[in-house]
Amino acid sequence: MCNWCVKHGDGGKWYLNTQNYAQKMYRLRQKEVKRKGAEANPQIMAEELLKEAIEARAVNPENFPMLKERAEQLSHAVHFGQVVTLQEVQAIMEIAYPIARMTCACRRQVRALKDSDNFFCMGLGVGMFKWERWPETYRGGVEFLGPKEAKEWLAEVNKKGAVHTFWTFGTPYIGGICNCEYPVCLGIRNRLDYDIKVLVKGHYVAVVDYSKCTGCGTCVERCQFGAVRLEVSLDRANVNMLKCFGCGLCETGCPNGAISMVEREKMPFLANEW
Amino acid sequence: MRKDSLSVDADLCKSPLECGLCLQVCPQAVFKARPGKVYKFKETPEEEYVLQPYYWMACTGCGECVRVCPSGAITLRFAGCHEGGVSVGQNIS
Repeated sequence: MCNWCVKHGDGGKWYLNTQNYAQKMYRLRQKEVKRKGAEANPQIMAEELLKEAIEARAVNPENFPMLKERAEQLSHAVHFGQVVTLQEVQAIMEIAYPIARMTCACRRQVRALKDSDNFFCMGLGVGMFKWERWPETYRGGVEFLGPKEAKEWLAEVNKKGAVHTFWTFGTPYIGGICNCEYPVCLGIRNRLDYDIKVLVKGHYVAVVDYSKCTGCGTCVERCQFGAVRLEVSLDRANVNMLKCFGCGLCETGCPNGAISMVEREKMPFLANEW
Repeated sequence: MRKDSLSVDADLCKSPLECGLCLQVCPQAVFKARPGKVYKFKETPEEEYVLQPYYWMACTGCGECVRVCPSGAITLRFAGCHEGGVSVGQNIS
């Protein structure tokens, strides 16, 4: 159980707690943004701090730990993500309402993907009605989905090889699902390359059943975190559990069902690794 | 790699989202087109996005972005990047 489950989980996993998708949480956030104005949008402030930290790491490494902590603190308060498995992101589809597909801000900013090809992310909650009514407030507009359609679409995206993550918009309000990949998605990028925890690990780790693994390497290709390698001499996959984010892409891709996702908590020295 | 080794001339790079060539071609995904200004009830229009070498520390100096840029807005400076001063002062743009 992570910190956020303890604080916002109501005894369970925090992203499966319906309260964290509630309209009243969204209203609170709106009030905050209204009071401070668009320039003081906490998401944009967090982005500036991130940029400062990333630069410091290359130029003034002695300032990096302090800047990293500041960036993480603000991110965790306003906008950060956590990795989830396909099964659990599909469970979220049963909880949140409404659900809409929308364009991905990272892919737009990093690879200039045109809006029509860029429907990779999902918005959750009442904010979507605003974007439907006033399309100029979000690029490309929104496309509403029912829970069944949404689950099918997520399975499709999973098959392609994207990592499911959910994001807070004023923690603990969960307002979006992203389907991420390295290096385009800034959450993964900032975490892997610059060690800034704007994206935290999920509740599972992958474990390989060596008796079933044939060494086909599908999981190696699918891992976005560089946690899976092929052991050449033994011809089998090896998951570095310290690097594993628990997204389950290796599990869903394995043709032999050799990988299973185990609760992080069951591993004493991983239980506090987020 | 120094911060000033890779720079974008904002006067020459007019609409990075519409063009997007450097963004798509960079093997290290160094660039990021960010909204120049943030509005309250409106999404920032495409032409107000500004190209930044956001992850400049990840740049290898391969020069692909300089080659594809139609307006010559990107400059790579190799001066001082090799110890011992190989190609000091030599720029490609």
